[in-house]
Amino acid sequence: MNKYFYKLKLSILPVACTIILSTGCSSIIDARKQKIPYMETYYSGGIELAATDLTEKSEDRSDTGDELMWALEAGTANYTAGRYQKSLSEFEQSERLIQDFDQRAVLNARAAGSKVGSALTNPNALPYQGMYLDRVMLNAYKAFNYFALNDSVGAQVELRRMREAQKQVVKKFADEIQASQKEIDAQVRKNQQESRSFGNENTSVPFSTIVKNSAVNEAYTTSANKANKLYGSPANPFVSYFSALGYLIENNYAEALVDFRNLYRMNPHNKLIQRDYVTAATRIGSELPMELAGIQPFDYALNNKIVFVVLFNGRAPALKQEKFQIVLPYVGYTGIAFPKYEYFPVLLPGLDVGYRFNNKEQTARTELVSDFDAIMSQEYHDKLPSMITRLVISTLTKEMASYAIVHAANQSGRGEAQIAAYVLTGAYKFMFNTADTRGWETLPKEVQVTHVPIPDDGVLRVSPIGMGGQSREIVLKKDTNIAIVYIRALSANKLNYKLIELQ
Amino acid sequence: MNKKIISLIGIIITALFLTGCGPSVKRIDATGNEGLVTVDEVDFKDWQIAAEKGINSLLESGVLSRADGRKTILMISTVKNSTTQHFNTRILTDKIRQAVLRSGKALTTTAVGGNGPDDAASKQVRRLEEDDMFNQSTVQKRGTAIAPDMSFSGEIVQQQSSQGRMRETYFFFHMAVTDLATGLALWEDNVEIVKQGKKPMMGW
Repeated sequence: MNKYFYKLKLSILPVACTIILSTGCSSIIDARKQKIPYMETYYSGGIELAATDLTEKSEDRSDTGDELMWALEAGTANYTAGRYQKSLSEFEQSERLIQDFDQRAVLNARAAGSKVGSALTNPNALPYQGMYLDRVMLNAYKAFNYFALNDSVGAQVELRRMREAQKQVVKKFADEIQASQKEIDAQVRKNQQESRSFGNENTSVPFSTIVKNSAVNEAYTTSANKANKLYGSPANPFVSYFSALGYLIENNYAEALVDFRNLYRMNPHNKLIQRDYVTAATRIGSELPMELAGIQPFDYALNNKIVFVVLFNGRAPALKQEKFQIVLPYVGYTGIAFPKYEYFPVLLPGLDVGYRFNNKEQTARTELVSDFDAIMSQEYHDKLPSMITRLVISTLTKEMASYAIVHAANQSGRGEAQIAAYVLTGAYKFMFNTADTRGWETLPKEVQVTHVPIPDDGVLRVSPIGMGGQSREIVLKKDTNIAIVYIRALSANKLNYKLIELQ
Repeated sequence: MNKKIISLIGIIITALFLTGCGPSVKRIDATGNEGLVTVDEVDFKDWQIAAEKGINSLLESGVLSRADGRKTILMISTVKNSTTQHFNTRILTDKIRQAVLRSGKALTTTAVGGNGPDDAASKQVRRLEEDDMFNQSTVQKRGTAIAPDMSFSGEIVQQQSSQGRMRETYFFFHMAVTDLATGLALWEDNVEIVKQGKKPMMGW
């Protein structure tokens, strides 16, 4: 009986190896580590090289569980490098993958296979399906690409998809938390059943116990402090702003007003949003909240002869691997790898935009519209309890399997079997104790926006705040009706400019 | 005997395997009811339904007939895509244009259009006036092209919703004909297409 049990458990190892080969590299080397050289190149301003390398990597990793992550990175890098068609094709591939995940049967063989792989290895065996922010930003980037290619109709399609994605993620969010709790409960019951053959210790480890651990507690409280509860759910204010801009391009003040109203609810103290809201409401004679009675609308139209300056600033938080120690039944102290956000500093406070209008020199300053640290922290914070609990339970499952193998090997009385059992189970646990640090690292830390009327001479002077003398002149065409100046600040002095002009 | 049975089973399994794995491509009748049906996209049958209903309604309305006996000149303006799908609305406008021509109730112009002229040649040939290579008596004169009396325009709107495993998409095709002299809408109609799809409970 013991020999049979030993053979059976030992056979899990080749199965795990097979699964690992069919998933992604991230099961052994965490994604953050894999991406270090690419991100160093990208954020140091080597955008052409980063775009080439990330495209190659994306092609190389196709048909693996990490495909979506690499395609998203390649999409952004190609957009920054001005390779719009390539960027679109990477984002289209990303979108196809996400749609495929969403449209799969409720109980599907691929998900079941990945879950078995994940239980035997780690969460990296599950295909990366994208964070909530990824799903909406993907269409936002596609819209930018279409605008850059002078295809306004295509851009508007993407803006509509972006709005739909934002609506869907808010809905999906609650469902996912509920589903993951059900999975945890099922695994706890399974572990408890297996525990009966060893000594029937209680194998349930609730999050309230795990969160007392200092490393987990730190991740939990930091993400709580960073998360902006005002936004609520995983809604992204930039998406609402970009959506409003899309409606303004179509001269649809009524729909733009809905977006400005939502933005105002998410961010009531933002001066730019207040004035945009008041301007849109005044233009179509809509009522305003009492507290905005004293706010003056802009003295120019938002849909005509206007320049929007959009700053994608800095680097979004990236997950990195941490370990926490916990005492588990049968096992004692165990180190478990988990992902934790690393936040990057704001290197550029914002931009000043100088222009001449009505024969007067004027300046506008960009304002924070969307804080990606806050949005990503919100999602992380809300998912952390189920994610950590799942990791602990899965570790316990693996530890109990190892315990059973070693126990059976000891009972067999064969020395070589005992050594092999210790070595293999030890190597197996070490190899697969890898956190799921997959994410979209080329996203910005924040988005700032301002707008100005088209200058008398069509010239804008954009200067980074606090970087005296580094002004950049942008000349608009005479027949431009709405312009979008997109600026990607990879660091304080590595700024990538794009000018989109709509007639 | 047993060997023969085993070989036969082997051949059948191999044949089934190869058949199952081979590509399955076929031509289908574009006027029939075959063809893929998706929930989120406007499929070719949806275009046909929208165009057919729109054409019938337009021709039956009688707005294209003129009291002076001259044929109405119709220009195709824009059909705005307000959906989440990338497609070319020409699929709809070309069907309308061709049906109008076939009806004999109106003529359509390709010299002007909502997105620029469908055929830029009418303008291009008049530039030959400056080209001494051409016999000037054969060059089309200015002031001979006929301006449109009416324009055809439209918009396609999409609304998506889902509940549990069920997804639904509602496509709303709005079409209008405007009298270009007065700016008044002479005819308007809508075609609605609703499609539902259920996520399977079990599958690959």
